[in-house]
Amino acid sequence: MAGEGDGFRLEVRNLCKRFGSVVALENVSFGVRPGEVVGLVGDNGAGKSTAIKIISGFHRPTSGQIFWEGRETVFESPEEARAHGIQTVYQDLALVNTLSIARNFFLHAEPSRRLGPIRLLDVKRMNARTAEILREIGIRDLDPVTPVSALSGGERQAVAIGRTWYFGGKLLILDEPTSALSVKQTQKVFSIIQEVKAKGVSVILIEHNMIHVHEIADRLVVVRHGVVFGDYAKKDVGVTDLERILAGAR
Amino acid sequence: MGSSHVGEGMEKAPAAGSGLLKRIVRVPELMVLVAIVIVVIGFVISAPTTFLSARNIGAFMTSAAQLGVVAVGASILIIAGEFDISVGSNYAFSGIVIGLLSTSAGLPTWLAVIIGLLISTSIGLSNGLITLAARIPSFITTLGTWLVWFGLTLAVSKGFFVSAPPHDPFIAVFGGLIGYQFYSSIFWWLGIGVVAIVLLGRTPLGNWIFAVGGNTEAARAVGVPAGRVKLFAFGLIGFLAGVSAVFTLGQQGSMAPLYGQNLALQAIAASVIGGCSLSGGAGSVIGAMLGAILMSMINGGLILAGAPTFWYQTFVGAIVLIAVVINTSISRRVAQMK
Repeated sequence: MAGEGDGFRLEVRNLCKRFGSVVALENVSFGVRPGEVVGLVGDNGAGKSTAIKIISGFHRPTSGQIFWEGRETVFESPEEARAHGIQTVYQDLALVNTLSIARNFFLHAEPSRRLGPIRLLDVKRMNARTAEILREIGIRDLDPVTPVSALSGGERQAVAIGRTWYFGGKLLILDEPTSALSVKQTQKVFSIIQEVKAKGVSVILIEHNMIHVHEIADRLVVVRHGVVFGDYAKKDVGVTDLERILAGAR
Repeated sequence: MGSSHVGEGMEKAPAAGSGLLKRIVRVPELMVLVAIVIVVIGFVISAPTTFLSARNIGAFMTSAAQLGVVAVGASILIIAGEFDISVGSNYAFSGIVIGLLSTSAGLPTWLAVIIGLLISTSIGLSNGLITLAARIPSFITTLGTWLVWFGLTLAVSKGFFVSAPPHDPFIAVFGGLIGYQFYSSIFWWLGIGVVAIVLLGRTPLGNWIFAVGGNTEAARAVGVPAGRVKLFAFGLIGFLAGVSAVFTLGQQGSMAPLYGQNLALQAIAASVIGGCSLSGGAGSVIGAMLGAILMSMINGGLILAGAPTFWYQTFVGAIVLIAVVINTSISRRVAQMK
C-alpha cells in the first residue's frame, strides 16, 4: 500500500463508487509518480473507466480519498481537475476535425493582439508556435495548417497529447489511445508518450491490448471486479502473466 | 478569409500527395466562383447588350444585398452548427414595426430603426435561448417561431403594406438609390461582409464558432463557452434580418407582411452553394455572399433573357443539389485518401 514517501503525484486510496445498488468500484488504490506511465488493465466492467472518471472529475467517489501532489483533494468538476493539470484525452472527442492543427492546438487559448477594442488572432505566431511544439514532441512531418480531418488516427492522438502537455498537463489520462490504430501509428503514439514522460508528465493509460500496455507502461495495475488485484512493476510481470491474471487465474 | 478548413498559408503545398483535391476542399468558394463564371457567360450570350449594363449590375447587386446580408448571418450560424428557418418572419416583423413606429406612431426614423433592430436581434436570441434551454434542434425551434412571428406580423399589420416615411434621409442612407439601380444597401452589405469575414477568420471568437459547429464536445472540453458562442450566432442573424428589412424599406419605401417568406431557405441555399457544410464546422462567409450574388444574377438574368421567372427556382434548386453532391463527394474522396 502506498505511503507518504512514495512521491506520488496522484494517489487514490480505497476508492468506492456505487450507482444506486450497483457497485462499480469496491476498493481501488494506486498512485502515479511524475514521469511515470501506469497501465490500468482489467476486463470490461472491472471499473477502470469509473476510476478514470473519478480522477478526471466527472464522478464523485462514494467513499475513499484522492491525493493530488500530496494534498487530499475533491474534484467537483472536470474543469477543476483540468485546472490542476489533469487532462483526459478521449479517442474521438479531443480535436475539431474541420480546424487546422494550429487552430486546434490554441483553441480557447489563441494568441492574439489588440486592435482597439477587438482581439485579432495572431495567425503567424499561432502557426509558428505550433510547429515548434510539434517538433519538440517529436512530430516533424506535419504542417500546422493541415486540417485535422486530413490526419491519421495516430497523428490525431499525437497532436491531442502534445496539446495537453503544452498547456501544463501534469497528469495525462489516455483512454485506449491505440485502439483502431495500425502498428506504425501505435508506435507513433507511444513515442509521443515517451516524449511527454521524459518531460515529467505522469500518464495513466487504459488499454486492452496487453502487448501494447506492457510495452509502454512502467507499472501495471490490474483491476478485477472493482478491486485492485495487483500492482506490478513492469519487470515483475510478463505479457503472458498479465493475460493469465486477467483470464482469472491466480 | 473564413474558408472551410480554416488553414492559413494556402500557398504552401500540403505535405502529403494528392495536393490538388485537398486544396480544393480548403477553398470552399471555388465551386460558386465556377458557377458564377458559367452563368455570366450564359447570360452574356443570351442577353449581350443588357446583362453587363450598369443598370443590370446595380439591380442584381441590390437584390443580392438584401438576401446576402441575411446569408452572412445564415452561414455563420450554419458553421456554428445551427439553423434559423424563422429569419424571414423576423425580417417582415421588424420591417413592419419600423414602418409603423416611424409613420403611425410618429417616432423619429432613427429611433424606429434602432428599436426595430433591437427587436430583430432579440427574436434571433430567443431562438437560441429556446434551442439551448430545451436542447432541441434549432430547425424545430425556428420552424415554430417562423409561424409564430409570421402570425404576429399579420396581426400587427392587419395584413396591409406598411410604408416608410417618404424621402426620409435616415432611411435613404441605408437603402437609398445612388444611381443606375445601385442602392446604398450594396455598400453596407459589403462592409458588413468584410467585418464578418474578419470576425470568422481572424478572431478567437471566429475560431470558437468553427469549433463549436465542428465538435461541440471537444470545444467545451478546452473551455470554449459553446452555449454563448451559439447564442451570438443566433443573435447575429436576427440583427441582420432587421438590417435587411431596413434595406427593403429604403429601396421600396414599404414592407409587406408576406415579404421574406422564402428568405430563410434562400439564405441557406446561398450558404450551401458557397461551401457551408450542413453538418456544421465548415463554410465561408465569402462563399455565402457569392452565393447570394449568383442567385440574384440568375433571377435578374432570366428576366432580361425573356425567360419565365419560375425557372429561377428550378435553377437555384439544381445548383444547390450540384453543390452539395460535389462537396460531399470531394470530402469523401479526401477522407479515403488518408
